[in-house]
Amino acid sequence: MRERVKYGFSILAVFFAAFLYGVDEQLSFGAGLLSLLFFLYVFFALYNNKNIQRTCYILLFTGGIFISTLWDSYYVAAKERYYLAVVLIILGGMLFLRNHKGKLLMESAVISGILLVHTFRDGVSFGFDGFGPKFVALILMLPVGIMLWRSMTGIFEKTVFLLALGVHCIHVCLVQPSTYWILSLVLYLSGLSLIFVEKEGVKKYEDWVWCIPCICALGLTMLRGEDVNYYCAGAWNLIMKVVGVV
Amino acid sequence: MMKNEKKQECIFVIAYLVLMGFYFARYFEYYMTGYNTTLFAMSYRYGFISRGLLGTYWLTMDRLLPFSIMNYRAVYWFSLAVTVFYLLLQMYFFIRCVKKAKEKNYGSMCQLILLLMAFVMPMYIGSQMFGRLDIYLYILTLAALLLLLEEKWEWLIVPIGIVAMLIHQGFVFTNANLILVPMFFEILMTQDRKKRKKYIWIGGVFFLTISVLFLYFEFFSHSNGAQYYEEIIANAKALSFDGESFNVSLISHEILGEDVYELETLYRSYNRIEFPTALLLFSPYIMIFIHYIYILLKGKKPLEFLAYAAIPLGIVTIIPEMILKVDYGRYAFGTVYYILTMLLFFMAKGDGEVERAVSLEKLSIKKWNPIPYTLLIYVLFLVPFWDNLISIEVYKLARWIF
Repeated sequence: MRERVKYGFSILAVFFAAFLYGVDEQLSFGAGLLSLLFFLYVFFALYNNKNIQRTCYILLFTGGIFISTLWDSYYVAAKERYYLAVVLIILGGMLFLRNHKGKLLMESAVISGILLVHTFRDGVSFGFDGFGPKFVALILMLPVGIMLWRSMTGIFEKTVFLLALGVHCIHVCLVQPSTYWILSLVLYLSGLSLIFVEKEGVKKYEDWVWCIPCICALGLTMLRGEDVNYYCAGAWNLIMKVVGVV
Repeated sequence: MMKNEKKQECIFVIAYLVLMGFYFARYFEYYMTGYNTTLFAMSYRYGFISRGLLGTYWLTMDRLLPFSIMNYRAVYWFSLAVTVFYLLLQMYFFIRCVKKAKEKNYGSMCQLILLLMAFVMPMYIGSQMFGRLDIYLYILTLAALLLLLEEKWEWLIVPIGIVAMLIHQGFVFTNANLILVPMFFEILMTQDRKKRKKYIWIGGVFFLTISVLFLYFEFFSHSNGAQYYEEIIANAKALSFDGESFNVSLISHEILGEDVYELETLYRSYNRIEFPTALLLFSPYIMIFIHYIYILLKGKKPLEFLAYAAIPLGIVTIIPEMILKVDYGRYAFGTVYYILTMLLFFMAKGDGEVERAVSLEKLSIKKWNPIPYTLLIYVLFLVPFWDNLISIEVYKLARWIF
């Protein structure tokens, strides 16, 4: 237990740095509540999972993106945070299920369902504006997607995963603004990673490989809106300049 | 074995270049500030002034080339090329350090390099620091360190020091420690008399020349340049982004000899709140460093103690800058750069005591921090360092605390 407390403190220190990175002039009660929910999710994951090192890395990457986005004043006022609260509660609850296939199916179905409810209930706008930075964001999530794909066995797991990914990617690409959809996808991939890191016989990666999702996670921090964030917008801008369009 | 080494080197180069692109995408704003373009207008035409070498070079090239370079576009592309060159030279330095170090230290070297890269990569890419003279000082410092590492043509350190001082006299406080400390160490520790004599001469002449130049530039160099004022303003404007901007305090200080202390009052107020806040935010690293020094110096004989004590004590050269000036971001970067570069340098030289202290410190860290890589991830959120401000994150916390 003492070891897990040490892990918890290390993670909290990084979350504090992420908070400082993302926070703006405005502090929000809603962001505070969501942060508490997220800490609860972290607590359940640390308590439940046996593969503690890999679990911590996953939580660090997720928290870095989540906390830095949540406290940025651009996002603070968004009503999507209520949907995120529901997603977090679902993900936290999933950690206590024992069956991997069941977890995967429930998580994929519930989160995809929440996305669809949000779309049709709130009448969000559609469009291809800012597709470039969104494309970069999806590329940044690709390494984790590949690691998860390689952890899955059987048609059932892969099909469910692809369907849920498809729903997310369509929303990321088409719906404006994309912050919530990218955060939802991050939480979904994080939730799946926490499941599969516990699965027996799953490929274990060397330490240096974890640098790749770490850098990708850094590139997704402080999600803001139309341009996704500074990293993705800057990367797309750089690509356009190199190609000679801008 | 050789094939494996080549493969690792290849992976490192690719990872480094990808990271460079990553940080450029995030922080590069395709823009040079008026302060950084005005530096190219300072020339020896107006007297033997400090920070005049770059402007002199620029004016000379403008006269020699068949096309004019007294414009923003030329200065921007030149600065971009220099920035990329600096980052590539830094990569080469890392590769040389790893190649020269013992294989058992490979893991430690990589971790130190990753930590240093987190600070180095974004530092001179953001709009505040892009094109700043510091980058030339670090290029020259890296060149000197490579000469010391390879133990070839070390006499070149003296002209390197002179050129660095002509670019910016702050070199004596911010970068000279990186060159003097290894030489001082060798003077005390080497058994080879010829080598000791060599470093006494090179170190002595290096120290003397940079000291004389510093005193001159600090107290005697400010030009009575009122007659050139209009010409300098015109050049500075021509080099700026919008054809109008230029830095008033820089020209007032260097050309008219005016004291800018009063103008820096606001920055001093930032320094007062940021400094203790930075100490708080970076306290884990400070504690690690202090513990590392304790391990390094424990049980050493007097001469060895003096030699190894010089390594951490090299940091104190930054203190005069912190008292006299206000660029705490640059000094914080200089301090971190010094500590990590000296660790890499001495491990590359195969110093057993530094290697032992680093290994023991790693074991000590694992006792209280079960995920040591959090020490790297934590820092990623608190950079880049700026010039006057240490970093935006430090400033945010400082404002809440104070």
